[in-house]
Amino acid sequence: MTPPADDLAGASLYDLFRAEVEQHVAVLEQGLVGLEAAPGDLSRIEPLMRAAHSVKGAARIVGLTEAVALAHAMEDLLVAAQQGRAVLASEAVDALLAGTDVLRRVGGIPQDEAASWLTSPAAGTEGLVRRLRSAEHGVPPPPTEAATGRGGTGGTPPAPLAPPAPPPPAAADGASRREATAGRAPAGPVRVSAEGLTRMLAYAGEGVVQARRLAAHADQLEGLRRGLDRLASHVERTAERLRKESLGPRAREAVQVLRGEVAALRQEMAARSEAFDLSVRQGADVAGRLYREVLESRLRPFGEGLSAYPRLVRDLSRELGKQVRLEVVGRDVPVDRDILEALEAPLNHMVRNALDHGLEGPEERLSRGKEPFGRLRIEARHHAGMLEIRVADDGRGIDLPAVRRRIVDRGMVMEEIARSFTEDELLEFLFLPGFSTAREVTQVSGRGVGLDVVQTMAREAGGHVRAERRAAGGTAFVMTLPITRSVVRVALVEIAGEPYGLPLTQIDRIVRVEAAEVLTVEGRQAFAHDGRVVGLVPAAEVLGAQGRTRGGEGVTAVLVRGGRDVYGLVVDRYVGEQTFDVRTLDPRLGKVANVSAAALDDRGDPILILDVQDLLRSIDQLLHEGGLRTVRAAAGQADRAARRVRRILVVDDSITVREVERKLLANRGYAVDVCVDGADAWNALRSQAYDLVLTDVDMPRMDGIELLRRIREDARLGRLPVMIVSYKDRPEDRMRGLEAGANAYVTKSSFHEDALVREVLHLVGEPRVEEDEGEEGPP
Amino acid sequence: MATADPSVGPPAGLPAEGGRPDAAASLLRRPPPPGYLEAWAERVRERPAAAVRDLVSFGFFRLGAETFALETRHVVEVRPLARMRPVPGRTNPVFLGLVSLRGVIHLAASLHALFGVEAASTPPPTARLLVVERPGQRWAAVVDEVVGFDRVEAAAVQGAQVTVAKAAVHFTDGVLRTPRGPVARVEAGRLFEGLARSLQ
Repeated sequence: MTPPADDLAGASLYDLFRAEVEQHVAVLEQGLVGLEAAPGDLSRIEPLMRAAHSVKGAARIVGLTEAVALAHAMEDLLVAAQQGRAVLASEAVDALLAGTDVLRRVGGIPQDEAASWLTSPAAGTEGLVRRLRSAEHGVPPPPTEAATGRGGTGGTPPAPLAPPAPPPPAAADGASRREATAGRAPAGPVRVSAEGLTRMLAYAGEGVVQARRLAAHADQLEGLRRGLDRLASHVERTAERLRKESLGPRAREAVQVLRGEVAALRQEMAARSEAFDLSVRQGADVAGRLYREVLESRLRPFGEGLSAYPRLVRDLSRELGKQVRLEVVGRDVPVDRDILEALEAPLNHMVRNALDHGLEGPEERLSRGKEPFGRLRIEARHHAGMLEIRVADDGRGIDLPAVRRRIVDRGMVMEEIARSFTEDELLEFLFLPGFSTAREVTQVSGRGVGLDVVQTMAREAGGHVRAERRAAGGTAFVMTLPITRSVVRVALVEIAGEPYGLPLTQIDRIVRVEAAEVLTVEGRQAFAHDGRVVGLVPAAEVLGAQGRTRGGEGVTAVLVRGGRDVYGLVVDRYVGEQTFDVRTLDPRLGKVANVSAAALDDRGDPILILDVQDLLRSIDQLLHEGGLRTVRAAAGQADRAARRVRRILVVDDSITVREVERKLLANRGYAVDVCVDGADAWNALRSQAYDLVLTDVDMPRMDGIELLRRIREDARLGRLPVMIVSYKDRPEDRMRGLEAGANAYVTKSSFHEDALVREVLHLVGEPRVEEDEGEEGPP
Repeated sequence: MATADPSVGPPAGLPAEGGRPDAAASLLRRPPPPGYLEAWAERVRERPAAAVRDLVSFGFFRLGAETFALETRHVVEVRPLARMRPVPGRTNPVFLGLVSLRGVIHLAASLHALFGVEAASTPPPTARLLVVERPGQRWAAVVDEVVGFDRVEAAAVQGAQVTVAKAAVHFTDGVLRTPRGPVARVEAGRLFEGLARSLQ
């Protein structure tokens, strides 16, 4: 078994270098931007200095001389700043950030290309080193570097240009490296492969289940002990009674022995039972702790995913000529690492959106009586068991009339309807693909691709996003996501007698609809809720399962929302809220309709977690195909069988014939599968259930007659209706077919649509099983 | 350890050692009888006489009245029956749904349905889940009984049929001679193909 890719145990020295660089670059970047905002705060320099120093050392180990020089220059500049010999104004910070960029890029290049890239003009390491040295000595940088238009450092009087510091003597370097190693906290992060973590979580979860099972055994043992107690007292009473009789000495002795044995056993049992109980409790305690620990290791602080943002906001706002202050609230809020990763892109979109469209430039803001700098706030918090991420700005806010106009202009809705839309409904339109009220497409955003992507990503992560207009002005986008993908909180419901979980983040609420409240609207059942008419859809039917609706008592409906449609999914009953450990489905199943994942319930049995998005699509499909049956909420109605679709197997070695037959039957509403010859069909028949077989006679490998014989001899398939469809139209061929057991014989020469379909209808009935039939169909 | 008896002299043919001969040492130092070394060298040099019979390990399981044999290398483990959860829209007579074994979710299958053997309405107390595997495909198959595991001659008699269920013929490729009598041998490739098909 090959070790997973990011298992550092087998990594090369260069891989370790890259991992280290990645870590330090992150520290540098974040710290430098923070430093620029507060240049007087010398305490911020220390960690940056150490980071540069570590990179220098690591680069030296792998022999990247230019990187060493660069990191060294950065370190020296930072030291100078810390000692007050230099001031870190914009230019200096720019140079440091540029250096950080180069270092980051080195970390991404394969080993054999790194050295040559560093010396190439593209990297510009030499120039950068010069800039850094100049900043260190308070000398304005050489003219070529100042072409970016930003001013030199100024501030400190020019000092004599000291020659670049000679490489420190080996001994001292060794000491400082050791010091750096010692300074690196022993409790630093450890890398584990994602799969390993998932496996650990599965085992830990199973440990909890096993502990619970043990507890059940402990209870049984307790029952045994009580039984033994009863036996003991029984024996005592009998011994007492016997004492009053006159017994021979041997009998008396026997009774004594019996009493002794039972008493001893009882004591032993009591001790064992207690010991077992203690063991079980301890086991459960440890299992529970392990599980929680492993679960928490999947959680990372929210702030970890934000490392690039201060830099992004700084660069972008300068580019747009705006002044923006970024505030982050809830850096420590724990978020599942998978979700953190999934958040990257949507957050990026939202931040860019806010910077580009939401926030105004300083002049505009001043003219509106606001402060010249705009505020952008990224906030994370746990709310009602879910993770909420807000990206809010205090900018212009969303221009609702403009949105309304745009909807009408693009012909999406009629003007009168647009006028009646509420604010919430209008805001939903922002998330449509290609929708943008921006006047020009800027490089930053405005192509109208941003927000619908955010919504898709939020949904894929298992949550949703909405827009809000802030009372104080400005806009906020709020993403609600599950706290962790690996553990999901669901509403546990029963559908067609089986338990299913509906993730809480994907449903609105669960309501009880009394029989009297059920209305019939346009032939479909619905009820009134919150001022709108909500259609009722039996969940069993959506899943294609046999529904079991009881009459008379009303129904339990789970409200699910898809865009602006709301449906009430009718379930057998609502069991309660539960938290489950999510397991991915076996990849061999491929995509299972309506199901998102599996989990294990309290007793360790599998349970399916449904995908509400999928369910909504299925509901849509059902409504369009008109196959939705009504929910029996009125009193006294008998159960109805679900309408199953009849399945036909078409067997023919000619591709044309197969296609023609398949189309004919599929259009009529049957489910059709095709096979190329008898052997193929025989395989298919044994793994799938069919209502009818249509077969040719002359086929390679196994002909139709042989297939038919096998079907008739099979215990399970014996009575399966078989129709022979053949070119052979002589009476003897027909006889042969019918003698072999065919239910019907149709010749291809007399083949035209009606005949075939009529024959099929006659043999098996309508495509959908009717309510008063059993599973057999007409004889 | 007995101390050397000074009254016993060194056995004939051995040089006396400084007065206190050690019985064990003298035994070990005794020269081998003539021809002894050559005889043993010959023995070791020889290849083992007859070729060992070609024995292969098989797992034997029962479906209804029929017993089948599957090579043990395809058998992972035997577990007690557990609750199976049907998957909406995918479950069929062969693919029974999901089952959890030791916290890992497996796919459950009915070999009765696949082999065309009539299954009892309730599983017998001997019923088990036979977990079988081919690289990348693991299944938990419901069987009426796991009879045991045994090494038998792999060479199966071709053509002879012992199974009553006609469907099973497709999945078996011969009959094994076992101490329990003739048993149909399951052809692993066709078995796993059949199982995989049930997922479509």
